[in-house]
Amino acid sequence: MIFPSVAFLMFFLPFVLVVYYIFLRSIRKRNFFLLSASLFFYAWGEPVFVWLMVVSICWNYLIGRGIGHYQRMGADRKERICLCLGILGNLACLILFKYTGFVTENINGIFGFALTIPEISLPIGISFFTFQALSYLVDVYRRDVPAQRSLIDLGLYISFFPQLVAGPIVRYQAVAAQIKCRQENWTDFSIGFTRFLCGLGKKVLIANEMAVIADKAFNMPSAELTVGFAWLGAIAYSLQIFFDFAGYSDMAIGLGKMFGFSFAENFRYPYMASSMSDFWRRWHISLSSWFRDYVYIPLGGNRVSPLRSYFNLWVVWLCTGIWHGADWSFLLWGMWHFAFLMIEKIFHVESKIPIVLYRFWLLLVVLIGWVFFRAVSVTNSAAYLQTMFGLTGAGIWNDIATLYLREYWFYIGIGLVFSIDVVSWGKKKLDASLIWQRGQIILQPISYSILLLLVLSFLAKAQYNPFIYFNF
Amino acid sequence: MEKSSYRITTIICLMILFLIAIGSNYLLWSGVTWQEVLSFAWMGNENLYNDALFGKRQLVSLNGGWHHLLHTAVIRDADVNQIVVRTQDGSITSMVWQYDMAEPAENIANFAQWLEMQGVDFYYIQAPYKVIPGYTQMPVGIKDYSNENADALLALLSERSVDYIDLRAEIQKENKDRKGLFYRTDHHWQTKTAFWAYSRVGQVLAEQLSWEIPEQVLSLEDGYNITSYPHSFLGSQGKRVGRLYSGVDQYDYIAPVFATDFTVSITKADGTVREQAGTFTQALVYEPLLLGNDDVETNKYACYFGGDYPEVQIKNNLAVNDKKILVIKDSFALPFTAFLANSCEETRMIDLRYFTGAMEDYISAYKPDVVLMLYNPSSFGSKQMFQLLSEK
Repeated sequence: MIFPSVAFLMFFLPFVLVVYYIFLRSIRKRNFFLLSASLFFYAWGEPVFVWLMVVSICWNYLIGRGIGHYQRMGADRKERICLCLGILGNLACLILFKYTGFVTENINGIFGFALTIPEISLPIGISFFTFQALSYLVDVYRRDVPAQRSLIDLGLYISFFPQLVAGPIVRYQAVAAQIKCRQENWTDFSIGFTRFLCGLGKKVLIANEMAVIADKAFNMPSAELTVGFAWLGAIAYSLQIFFDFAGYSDMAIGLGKMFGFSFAENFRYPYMASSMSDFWRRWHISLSSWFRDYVYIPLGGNRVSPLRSYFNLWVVWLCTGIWHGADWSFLLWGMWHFAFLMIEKIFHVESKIPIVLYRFWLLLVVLIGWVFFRAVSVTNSAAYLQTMFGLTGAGIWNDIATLYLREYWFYIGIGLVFSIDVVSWGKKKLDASLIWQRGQIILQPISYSILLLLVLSFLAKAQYNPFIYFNF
Repeated sequence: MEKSSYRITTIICLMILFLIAIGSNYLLWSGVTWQEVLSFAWMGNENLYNDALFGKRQLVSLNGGWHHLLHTAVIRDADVNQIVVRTQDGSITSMVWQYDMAEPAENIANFAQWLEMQGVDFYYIQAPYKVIPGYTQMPVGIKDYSNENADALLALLSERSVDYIDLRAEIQKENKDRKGLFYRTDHHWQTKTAFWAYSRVGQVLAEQLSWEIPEQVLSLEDGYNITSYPHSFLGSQGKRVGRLYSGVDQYDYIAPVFATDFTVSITKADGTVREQAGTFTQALVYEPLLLGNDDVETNKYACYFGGDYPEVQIKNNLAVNDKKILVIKDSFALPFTAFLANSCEETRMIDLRYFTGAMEDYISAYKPDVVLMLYNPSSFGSKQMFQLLSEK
């Protein structure tokens, strides 16, 4: 089940809201209900893998309790063994489901073996809930939080449906207190709900429309792809992936708030970044901060020799690339970003080039990175980039490019506009106006109502729209 | 003030959401058991839930209105074969993909050869498609292959000396007004166009096969009455994009003014038989589709016979000749065959999408004087519709 679907909007969410707010009063009952609803949400279409989720919850619960127990006993070695077991168990699960096929394929390729490549279905969201579980265990080990004594509460943390399948990766210490004790209120609920609607709009009205262009361009045979359409496809994909993921994060954060939870922001207008480092402080913030806190800093971070710190960064970007998918193109994407981060770190180019120029350069670098990310293979991405830069002798423009530009100009336009922080800029300009302040009370409900009905109209028409990050 | 805005927004939007949700739940839980609902959830099959969306038609219409506002010329569809395209005259159509016509042509030619051995005349009739050569302009970047496919098929039939009537060429020859040939919102031809096609074929039967057909029977002006139902028909393509995008068509019902007496037997796909008898309207028309209700989404086009069935038998009890016709058809033949039934003693329709018998046995038993095969180019993608003979 995905958020922008009839099943979620018309059946699951209303049911959960009604039961949660009308029939349940105590926090214990509400947590139990949310856990049950989350497991049902995950089981939807994945009835087998919900047991994997249950096993993961139980495993991490036992490991966490074990770490806590050995902490109280002062048995450091046993505590570390417990942590290692926990990490290995979680990673083994992730590697088994996500990387076995990729590893086998490459062993065959490198060593000439003929091992059977296993066809293992990927449990939805496994990368997200595994990383959440890992962050819980490490935080307990570090004594940042006590081990959770309630299986229900830990289960809720790991499986909570708003962020279960596509993040953001929520740190246990950020929500531990909220699981135990939270005060839902009408203001937070309203803010959360409108945030959810914004996310729906980003996903359905922008991301899905950009996907049409991107899919057409990236699936087109090289001989038919023109330079102009290749660029259009790459720009469309850049908008698609941003609005898809940011939209989903908005929905997750909004839904969390509706149930009294505050999740950290996951995107801060990354296409307004002033440097590559800044880009990664704005894009998928929960993932980059996870790797910083659980991989980069434990390796020594930048408190070691420069060469060692570069190595640490290389490991982080290797992991970041691999995390996104079991394919060399994701690895290439990770290394692409690593290379430009290194250029900034070593040569500080961002301070030497005029900022406007550098921002365009940065957008170009990010755009090229998205070509690696989207293309079905490294070879395919190379061919696509060659077309983009006119190296294949392809024509500049054709009727297909005209068709897609003419049909989607509106969505491209609003995508470009809303990829920068026009909302805050607009609010600053308008907040001083009394007319706006008074008019807001009418305009906002009308705007959001239109947005909701428009989204529902698109869902009614399409009835099929998978998320990009669904397979992570 | 800002908090109030959020609260009011939430109240209004939640009201909208819950209104639709309550209606959807009512639709879902009526007629299904909770076990069925859960089993769909278990499989991740959301069709049951999607079909239960309350106000779906209105939402699709709203979506169409949005696209109309943006002047969108191509509207995507969950079914790639149903993508709707707006042409230069404001009409909407779907595209036909390119098909290899060699096998269909071979099958038709073999069938014609077999019929010749049985002493039965055969004509393949090429119905026009909404994309009319020399008139229809598709949006830049959109390619439709309906006419290329039809040209290829007819060229191959010509090589095998199979008789055919190309109604597209007849339209060009007579310089007919292209704009009014098809419904704006449906993929079918207008009733008047179907009548014109019938009259052309009737002329061929009279001239080439020397059939005795009174002029009144072939003349729209002299022999028939047209009853118009303005703004009454939202066709197949219009339903997919909503009336705010496509508009609504006028439906014209045509019936003879001369005396008629028919007996009709319709065999449905489930094997049951519906029989009707009486005048043209009493026997050949499925009245619930014509006069049943004011819902524009009622398929008025299919009021002749009520739709597509495996087999339909029409006996003309006031026939002026003793001729028998077999029409192998798609849905374009519904009004066409209704009018054709006035020209002979018995007319039968076979729809190969639903007919499960052997054509050779059927024809050997029925012994028609002529077999007509009437297809429009959007039927070319169906291999089943060209499985004419049991053995090749």
